[in-house]
Amino acid sequence: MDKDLDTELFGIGQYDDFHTIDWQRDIARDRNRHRSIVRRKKESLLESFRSKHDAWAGWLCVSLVGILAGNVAGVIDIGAGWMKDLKDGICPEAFYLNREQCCWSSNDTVLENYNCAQWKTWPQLLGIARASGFGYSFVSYIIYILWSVFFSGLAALLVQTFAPYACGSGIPEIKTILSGFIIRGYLGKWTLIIKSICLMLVTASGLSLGKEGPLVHVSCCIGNFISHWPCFSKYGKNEAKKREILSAASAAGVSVAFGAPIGGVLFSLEEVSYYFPLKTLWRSFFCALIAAFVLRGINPFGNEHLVKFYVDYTRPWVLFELIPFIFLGICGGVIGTLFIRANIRWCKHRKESKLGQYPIAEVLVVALVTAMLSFPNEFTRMDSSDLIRILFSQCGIADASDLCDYKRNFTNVNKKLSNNAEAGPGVYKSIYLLVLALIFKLVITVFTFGIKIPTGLFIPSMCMGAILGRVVGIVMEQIAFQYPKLWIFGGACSTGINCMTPGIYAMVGAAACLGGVTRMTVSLVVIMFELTGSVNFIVPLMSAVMASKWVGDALGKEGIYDAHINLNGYPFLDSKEEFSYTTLAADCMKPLRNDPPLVLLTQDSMTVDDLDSLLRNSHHNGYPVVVSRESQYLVGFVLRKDLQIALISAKRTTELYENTRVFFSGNTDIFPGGDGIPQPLNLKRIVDFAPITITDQTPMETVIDMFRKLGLRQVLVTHNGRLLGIITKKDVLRHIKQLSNEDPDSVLFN
Amino acid sequence: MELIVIFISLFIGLVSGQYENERCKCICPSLRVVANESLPVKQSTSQTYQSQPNGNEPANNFYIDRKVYIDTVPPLKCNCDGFVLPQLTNVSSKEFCPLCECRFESRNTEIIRYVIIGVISIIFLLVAYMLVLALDSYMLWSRFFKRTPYREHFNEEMLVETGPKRSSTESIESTSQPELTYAHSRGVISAIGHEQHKWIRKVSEQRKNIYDRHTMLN
Repeated sequence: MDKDLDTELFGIGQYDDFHTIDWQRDIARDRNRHRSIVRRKKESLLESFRSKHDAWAGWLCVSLVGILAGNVAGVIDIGAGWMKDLKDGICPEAFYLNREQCCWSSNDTVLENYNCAQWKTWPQLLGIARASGFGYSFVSYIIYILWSVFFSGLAALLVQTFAPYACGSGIPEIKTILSGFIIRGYLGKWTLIIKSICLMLVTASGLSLGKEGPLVHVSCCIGNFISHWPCFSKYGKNEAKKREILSAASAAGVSVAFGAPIGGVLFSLEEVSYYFPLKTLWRSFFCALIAAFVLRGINPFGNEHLVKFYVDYTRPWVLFELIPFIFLGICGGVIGTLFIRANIRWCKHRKESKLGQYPIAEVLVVALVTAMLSFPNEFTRMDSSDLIRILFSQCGIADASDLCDYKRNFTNVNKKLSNNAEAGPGVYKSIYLLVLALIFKLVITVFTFGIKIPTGLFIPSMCMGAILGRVVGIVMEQIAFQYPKLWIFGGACSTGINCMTPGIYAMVGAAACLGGVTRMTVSLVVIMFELTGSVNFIVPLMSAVMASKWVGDALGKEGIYDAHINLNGYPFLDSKEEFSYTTLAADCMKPLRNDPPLVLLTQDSMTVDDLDSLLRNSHHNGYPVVVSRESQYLVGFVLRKDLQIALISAKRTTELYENTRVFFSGNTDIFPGGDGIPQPLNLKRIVDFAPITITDQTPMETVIDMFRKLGLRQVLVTHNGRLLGIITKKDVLRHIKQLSNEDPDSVLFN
Repeated sequence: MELIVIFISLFIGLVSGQYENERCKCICPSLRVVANESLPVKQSTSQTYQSQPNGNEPANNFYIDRKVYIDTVPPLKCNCDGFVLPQLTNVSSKEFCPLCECRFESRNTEIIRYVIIGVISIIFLLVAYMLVLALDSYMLWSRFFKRTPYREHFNEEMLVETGPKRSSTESIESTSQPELTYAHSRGVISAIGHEQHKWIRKVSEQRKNIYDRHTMLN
């Protein structure tokens, strides 16, 4: 009998597409499996090895996920870095290098970021030598647009042909999947390949999107891929256990996207994961560590850092600066809410109108418009993460861009270069261009997020915030320069050292804006602080992010990911929201008063024929087992899929007749098969004898809490001990929607 | 696209010596800063630089205006005194060097090269496969009723479209059994073909969810 319980039927515990998983049941299954391994440990050497393997399989699995995630991120970084400069030109002597790498060891430039002799722009290759002429700019403009449209069009085609699930940011879906939902193919191999390739293409196309968010999806695909290896079957075959690996994988995704391992772990905890025990926390930590380590080994940017926009500030901040920081936070919250509202409205329009029928044309149009409008402005022409890097960094000696056009005076050697200085005309021109860039980015990102290519949101929203922050920072810097003795600076500016750095404002602004859009707090601050490598700025970042979250929550209650979950109607039971109604379980329960009665199994009176016709005529995903039709006392619960599998396997292995009786309880010995009566079939092993039950008077508040905290798929409702009805997760979600006056049918699937 | 092909064929296996993997990069102020009026001009150096085409920058002030110094020197020598000063004349270390910032950096062009070549080839493979699939489906549509093996596949698709509620014991059997017969009766090629069909069916289901029914990823 023990052996019988240990070996499961093939297919048990798997779920159909778009079904909700039962956490309790899966975890119990895993506990059983573990117990049997422990029990057999001493039987033989092989068994003891098996138990050792079982103990460290989790760590091995997450370290493989980390290694693969780091490698994939490195490839994406290098590939995207190369492709983005294809719009400008090529390095003929080494075609695989981008502009920065092409000029990496050339010693013939006067200033930073200048074209070197090895780098050839397209007009130069076409024979137009004069860089200042109209022909030159026109040809560059046309070629820029062509590449941009080509890249995004190719990405849209690849997505449509090979992996439609690769489009979008992926974080709302990952959240839903981690909360216990099955979307077959969403984390598949094709999605992984296509999403990685298209991420390079779309970042290179210059659209207003980033590759950081989708990297979370990519690394979750890696996690899913590895957990399906035969040696990790305890994860691959158990959906609840698999989600532990996926949580760790999403941490690794953020870790490689921002070079922020701790930030990744906290992101997984705060934003993505649903079920996050301490064991998963440690595994995520380890996975994020390995991934960052591998990426550092690849060194994709050649700067010994994991991200392009790594900055290093040493300056302390003045107390007064908290006011502009909080102001930035408020602006971030407002921009975030504006963005969410506009984007959701546009996405709804796309979903319902004819626009949704032309996904590729839409991508092409957005790419064309973006390219046409972004080329004339130097700040939008460059890659978004390059722009963020420039905005974050301080003006160096060799910076000759307009943004760093200060009237500096170097005659006194004792004065350090980072002194405050009066802004030159170039700075004012840059402010004007930056404001235009901010408006452009805000508008175009609304239309970009949600088109049918991989689109991330971190970079564009950070970019908007960084622009805003830099502008505010320059203003503050000029105030400090003009009136260094103002009491608000507390003497920090009168000594001649630099007291206002626009780069720090850019960083705070970026955090605030990202906070306003995603409503993250802790993980965001940690990510930003890991980016800058300076502990000094935790308090400014915290205050800005908090302000942006307050303002954002006051203006609109949900972040962009939750808003997209709602828009798509994914069955996600948010643990942040409170349920404030006073309904009872009886109000939510199925069957309602006028519905046909519940389809039931009885524990010992049904035949194979009965079961077949029951399966054919009803479409429920599970059936309660009762003692008999007359006394409907609850015995257990059977899932439809398990019942199907068990019947099929019984038909294959044993002789079954139409009138074979089927038992769903332990005591078959009382009814032995006689001469005329066929041997009965016992399906005890597929019955869950401990289903969670509540009474019909249980408040919905408690029921919802049970669903959230225990991860249930259904509860059975009893009255005086008799079975009355059933509540599924979908019923709960519909009930919540109905009470808050939304369309209950917008909840998806089963 | 063609340009890339040409470049690939031209440059695979060619790593020019110019693309070093280590560099020392120093950023210093221009010489105007240190010596206000009497600008030290070292004729020889400035002329060698003049001979190189230098973007759109007028090259005659190169020596004086220069702010970036890049060369391959050992990491220990990568500082202002060891690396920048020997290139200049009439500049005192005390005045100039505190303003300089030197960084030693390293990269790996080999990795970059393999990654980029790998990425380009994957994209080419995908595009080629995409064209094959497009051609295939075109053929399929043009003689939809002549080819019997495909009709079965379409019927099944219709079944899928009625939603996840269809399944009973029979349908599970019908989906699981063909795999066995396929693997038994025909060779490896048809098994691959069958896998491909399964995959195409899955993708078209995804496509229907996203592009037609708009139930996901809006």
